[in-house]
Amino acid sequence: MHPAKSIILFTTISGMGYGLIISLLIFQIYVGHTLSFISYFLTFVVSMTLVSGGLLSSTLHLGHPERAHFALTQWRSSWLSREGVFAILLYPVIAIYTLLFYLNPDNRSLDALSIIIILIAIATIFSTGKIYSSLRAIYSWNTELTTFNYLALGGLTGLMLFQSLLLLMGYNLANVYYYLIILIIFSCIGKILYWVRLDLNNTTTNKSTALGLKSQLQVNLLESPHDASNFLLKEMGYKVARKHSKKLRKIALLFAFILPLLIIFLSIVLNFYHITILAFLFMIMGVFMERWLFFAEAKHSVMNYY
Amino acid sequence: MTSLHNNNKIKLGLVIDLDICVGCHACAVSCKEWNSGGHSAPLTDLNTSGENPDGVWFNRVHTFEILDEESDNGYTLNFPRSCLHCDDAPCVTVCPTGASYKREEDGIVLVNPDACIGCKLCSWACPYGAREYDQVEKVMKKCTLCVDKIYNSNLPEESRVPACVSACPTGARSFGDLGDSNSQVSKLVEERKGVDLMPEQETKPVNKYLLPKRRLGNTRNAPRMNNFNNLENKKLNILERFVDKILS
Ligand code: SF4
Ligand code: SF4
Ligand code: SF4
Repeated sequence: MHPAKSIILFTTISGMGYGLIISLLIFQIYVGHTLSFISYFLTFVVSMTLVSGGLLSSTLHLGHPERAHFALTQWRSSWLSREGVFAILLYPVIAIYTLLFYLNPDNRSLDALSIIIILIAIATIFSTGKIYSSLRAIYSWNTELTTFNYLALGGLTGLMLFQSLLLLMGYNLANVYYYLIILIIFSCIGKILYWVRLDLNNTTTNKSTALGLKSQLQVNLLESPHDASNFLLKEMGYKVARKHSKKLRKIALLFAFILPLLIIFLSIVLNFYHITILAFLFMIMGVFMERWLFFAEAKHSVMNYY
Repeated sequence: MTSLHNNNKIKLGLVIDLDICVGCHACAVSCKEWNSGGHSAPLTDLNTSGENPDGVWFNRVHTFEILDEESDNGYTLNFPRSCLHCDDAPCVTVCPTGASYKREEDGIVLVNPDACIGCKLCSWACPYGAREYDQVEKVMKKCTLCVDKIYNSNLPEESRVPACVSACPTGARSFGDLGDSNSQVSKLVEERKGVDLMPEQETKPVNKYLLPKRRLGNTRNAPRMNNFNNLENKKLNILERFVDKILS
């Protein structure tokens, strides 16, 4: 599939934004509103910027952005529509939370609202994952590992960013590192499993079934219907050389998981936590690479006709 | 509404006979011609006389070379590809706006160009590549089953079939109600054991394809000559074996 920059940007940036909201609110519940309002507000602004920037980038990718509100109507059947509904729903709820937190920072009954916001944020990332994992025509995405990857990477990048912001605002919480380490390991395993499954290529769709033929026949394209390119080839015919994709996977794993993990260990050993900001930067690069591969490596069943 | 109702009794569709299709592209061209002024008009073309022409087509004819290694036979297969108006159309259920829908009265899958936001998700969901995005109108387009021709009371009765069906010089395309087991098309499918494309995708296509009748596995046809490297497969007489041994 063609790796469109707007979708890569949208999925990574907004995933991180939702991860940041989740981290922030879990933190609020967990340590009992010890964050000053101004620190809360800064984190809130960063997360909203990421989420909204991602949404905007995906809206601009549409042919008719001015009709985008139509996309909220089909939540009964479409995961894309559900994603939109959850994304919109988050704004008023978190605005109310922020207002109430400002009025009374010690109000523990706000935790109930936190849980609702956390659930909406999780539902949004889950829907994003589902958009892809429910497409049977694209074997590499058609697995719950896709949804898991979206959730895990959203949570991980969000927590990593939260940790960096806390450091910059002068907080230091050793506990966060343990959660980070666990999340890195889980996300990494999820991604490796995704690639293992992709390489098994256990799809039953092939050139023979595409033509309704018996499978022992050998099918070669003799004449393409058109000698220039077309929408299908441009949108779905993206090919990365196998050799390159293997190399790129290693780079993605290195940047997204292995380097951040090593840096976090190092920061614990050295008791110098500010270097984890570097880990965040590496992780972002790795996740961009991962998302690019997610699209570039995906083969659409229509390519059996070309 | 992009939920599927799945209770339409009338299932209009095409039956395409790959045995007699000669790959002339007449269906593709006449589809383009009719639909350039039809329900989903225009079918935008770009750069028509330039280096990289591009444009929207609802029907594309591929030609394949089929080799049957078992019987050492081969043949050419011409294959027109258009929307199959699937019963379980994944392109419809993914649509966030309701622009993509399957008609309850006859099962035709259509796009409402006034509601489509051009997110292209439906084209990803269709396993067959039956949907093409219009870069100028910025909405999705697809085969309409010539909905504006088959019900057109201004046309004589016999012309109320899709343009591609009218155009086919060999009669390889038939149109009718595949939901009615007594219709001519259903009988044709039964007689010729019509098949679904990619049945494992579970889209339940309405359109059926009829495979070539005689050529498959018929060893009486002329043998292919490109397998001369594989002499051990053939029955050689003693002299031939001797020559083969010396030469190889
Ligand atoms: S062939 Fe493709 S576009 Fe047509 S109904 Fe089936 S899934 Fe939808
Ligand atoms: S491109 Fe149009 S028809 Fe297709 S899913 Fe998006 S809104 Fe629906
Ligand atoms: S039914 Fe009409 S729109 Fe569909 S392929 Fe045939 S001519 Fe084209």
